[in-house]
Amino acid sequence: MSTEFVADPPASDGETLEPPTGVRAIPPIKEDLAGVVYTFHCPKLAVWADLANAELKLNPGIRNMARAAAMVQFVHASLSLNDSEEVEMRKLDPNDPLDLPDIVRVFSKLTERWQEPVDKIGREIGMDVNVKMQAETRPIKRGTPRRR
Amino acid sequence: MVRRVAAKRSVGGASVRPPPQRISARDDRDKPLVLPAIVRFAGLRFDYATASIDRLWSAYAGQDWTTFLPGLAAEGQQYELLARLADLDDPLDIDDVARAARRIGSALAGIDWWGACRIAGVCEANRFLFLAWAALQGINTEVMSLPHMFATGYAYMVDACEDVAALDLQLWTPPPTAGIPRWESADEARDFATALATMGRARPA
Repeated sequence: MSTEFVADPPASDGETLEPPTGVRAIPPIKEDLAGVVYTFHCPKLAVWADLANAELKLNPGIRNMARAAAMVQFVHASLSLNDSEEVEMRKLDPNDPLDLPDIVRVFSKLTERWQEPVDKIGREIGMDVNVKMQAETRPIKRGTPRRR
Repeated sequence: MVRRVAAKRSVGGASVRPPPQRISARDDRDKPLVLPAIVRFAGLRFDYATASIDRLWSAYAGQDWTTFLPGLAAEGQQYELLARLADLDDPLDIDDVARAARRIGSALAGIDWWGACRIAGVCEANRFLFLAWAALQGINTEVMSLPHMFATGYAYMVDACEDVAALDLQLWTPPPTAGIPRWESADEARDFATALATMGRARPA
């Protein structure tokens, strides 16, 4: 091997457009969020990993907090920058009907639609990003054995 | 168990140990593999130092691409890559890094990534048999470069199998792009029940 190695994919001829790979190849979804329709793009694997990681927390209180934080991050990560800022402002506006249940509802729809293709992409590189499976196979918490 | 005790010498009344005897094979094993000095990926530059062949061989056996990128990069240079992965507006994703790491691993091994992982995996799973076979052939795996290790591993597999064409097909065919089947507890329970039933039938009356 030479002293310098370029690990980037081989450059195309410049005329043909490179097809998107990974989660970028998953088509976006249009969903209604309390009266406004937004376009949601599948977020990066790092966001999915955060979501799956939240399910592994043993303490139920911490798990719920981590899950809620990962859920909100997921919805914001799937929006464009402008839309994300708009949703953030709408969340803070007391006169806007948008609230946490709307975000949870959209989150459920998005994960249901994207879980399968993302699961395949993750498994190809040895990552388990299946949120439901992580919740099912969570390690059992074992307490200290009771003294006799 | 053989225990080696260094002979003691007396110098000026004080007991001192002789310097350890240098064994050529062990010295060569400790010699690190020369890696590319610089790896460029996604506009980032990583300085690579050296790594032992044992570490890389284990990484191939475990299909651990993170060893090649960013694992081998100089300390502190990984954070820039991790920061870009965490940046939601940056299109760089984990699967891009995985593909780049596999390209590096493939270039180091001199063969296809999946073939390298399968050869290293089989040889690691049968480490004792592999080393015994190499000893019978008069091959010293202690002093080999990484491509030679893979060539020896392949020769071991060819020697142990009856259908070389089928082995080649299994070794060099990339995994299905549709993804690897997920582990399901129901599938495992069904397979276990099938195995038990088979054992039951095979058991003498």
